Amino acid sequence: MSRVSLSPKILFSIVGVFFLIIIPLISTTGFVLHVAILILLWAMLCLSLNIIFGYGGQLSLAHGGLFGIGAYTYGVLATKLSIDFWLAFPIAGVATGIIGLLIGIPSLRLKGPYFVIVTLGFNIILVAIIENLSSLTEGVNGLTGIPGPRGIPWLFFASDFSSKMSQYYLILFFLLVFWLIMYFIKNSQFGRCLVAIKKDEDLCQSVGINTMWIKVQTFVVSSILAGLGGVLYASYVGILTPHDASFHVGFDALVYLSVGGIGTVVGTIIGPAIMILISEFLQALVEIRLFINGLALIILIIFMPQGIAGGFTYLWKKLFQSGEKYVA
Amino acid sequence: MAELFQQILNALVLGSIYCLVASGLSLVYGIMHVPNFAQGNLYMAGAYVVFFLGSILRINYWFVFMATVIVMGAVGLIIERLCFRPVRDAPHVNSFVIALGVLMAIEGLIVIFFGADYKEVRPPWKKIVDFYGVTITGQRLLVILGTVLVMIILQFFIKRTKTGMSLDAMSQNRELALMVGVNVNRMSSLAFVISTGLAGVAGALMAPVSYVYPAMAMIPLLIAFAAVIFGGMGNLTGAILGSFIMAGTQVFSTQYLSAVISDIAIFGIMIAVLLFRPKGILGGRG
Repeated sequence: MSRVSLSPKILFSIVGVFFLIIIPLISTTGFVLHVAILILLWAMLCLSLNIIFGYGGQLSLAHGGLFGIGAYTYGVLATKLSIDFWLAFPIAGVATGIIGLLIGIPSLRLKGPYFVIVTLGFNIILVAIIENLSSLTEGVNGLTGIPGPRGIPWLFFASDFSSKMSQYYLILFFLLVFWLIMYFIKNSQFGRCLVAIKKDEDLCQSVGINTMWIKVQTFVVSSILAGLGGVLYASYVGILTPHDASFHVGFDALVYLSVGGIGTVVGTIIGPAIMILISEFLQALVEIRLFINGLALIILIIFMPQGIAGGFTYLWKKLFQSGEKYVA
Repeated sequence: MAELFQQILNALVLGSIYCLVASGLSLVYGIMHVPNFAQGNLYMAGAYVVFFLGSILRINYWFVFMATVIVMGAVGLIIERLCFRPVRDAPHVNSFVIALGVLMAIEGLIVIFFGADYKEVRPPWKKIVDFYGVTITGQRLLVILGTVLVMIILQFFIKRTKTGMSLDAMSQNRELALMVGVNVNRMSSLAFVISTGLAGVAGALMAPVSYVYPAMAMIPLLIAFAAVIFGGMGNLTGAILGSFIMAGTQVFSTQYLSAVISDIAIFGIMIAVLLFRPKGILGGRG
């Protein structure tokens, strides 16, 4: 880690980001790009879940609802009030943050299974509210005709977002920003407090850390990122139903994150990439997806709780650095 | 007045189902400290077993009932052995995630085999009982009476038999029970088998009353959790009391207010209990 310039981690990140940037140039069909965009959008949700669950150790099942709140806030603002994407984007972020604060303050007082159950309950309530505010959200019929982002005329590379390729780069841009945010959270004093709270909350309290406040802040940041992911999702697909806010969305994100590696940066993209590619290959057998997701989750947690990223790191250390001693 | 009694009867029917699901949750939590998120789906799976045996193979309902309980018990044995035992010594959150995986796998299997649409199971007993203007179908009466019978048997098993008492001892004080030689593996399997068996009973009783469909799992699961939390996690009597209170809240707030308010009321009660009486309203062990 000391030789930053030659660290394999940095090298892999650069190669990975480069690969993500050239995907639209090497992909031949619109379908490939569509799948790539879906992977990026799921990576955003995995990333937001990773902040609260991977680093903070709090398994939130409300993230499907928070994603849906962001998406619906943008959808309603754009279709009912014709508010521009670039104005609605921050508004939706703030709205999701406030909802996250309202959910986080009571839930984070609870520990272990209670937190998980209460967040699941909040997701059910959020969906019930979305379904019943039908004057705004069109209820179970779904909200249609949500516009994509408007181009920025004075920015030559962002002057038009009508093509799939430009949407890909827009979403990739935000994903990279989110990754940077996550990276800074992880490596800050705040992030270290967070990991310490995950390990032993009572001990942190006894040395004077306000653990509740740190957890609430983390939950709010995580909510905002989930909501912004929802905004990008809504602006890309153009149609929303209450199912987009259901707890199943959060469950899927949990599966993808577990496959990639809970608590890792690279896992937030590896997981969605692998699982979405598998489900696209099995296109004919779309019913099987839920079963495969459940099975993958069980098998991974039993045999490889660190996910693919963790397994790869382990192999790497075994193969190339066997002479050094590692503390597990 | 008759309408009020009708609502009370509805609450009793729903409460019975929640009670069966919640007792299973409470039992497994007491022994294994796993919040079994798959419990609602096991209830749904039980209803599908009834649909398969009763409506497709056309076997007599009473045989189907017995078969469902046995099948679900076997399913519980397999799930405990293959999914939960390997993570017993891992961090707690792993078993939560495993439970979610089991939930998804069961729902996926059901959708693969039966599809996601509504199925109907014909009630075996079509008679309608009329009691001074309050009517109840035979099957609904069976739900209430069946639940009472099953709960009496369960209580008898736990309080009066040696195996049941070791189960109770383990949920009260794990370390002490281990010290006097209670077998953890055996107790975990037993708790899981009883819990899935209870979910099977609930599914078998409820299948002829309502439609059978994959999404029927979630609301009973969450209300059962609310009930278990209301009575205190791992406390069986509390879970039974909580189930009927939650069912009453649900039925009356849906009738006189609205369905959304009913959902919010139930989770509101749950969150309030967690924040102010974290060990449950009966104040038992947490």
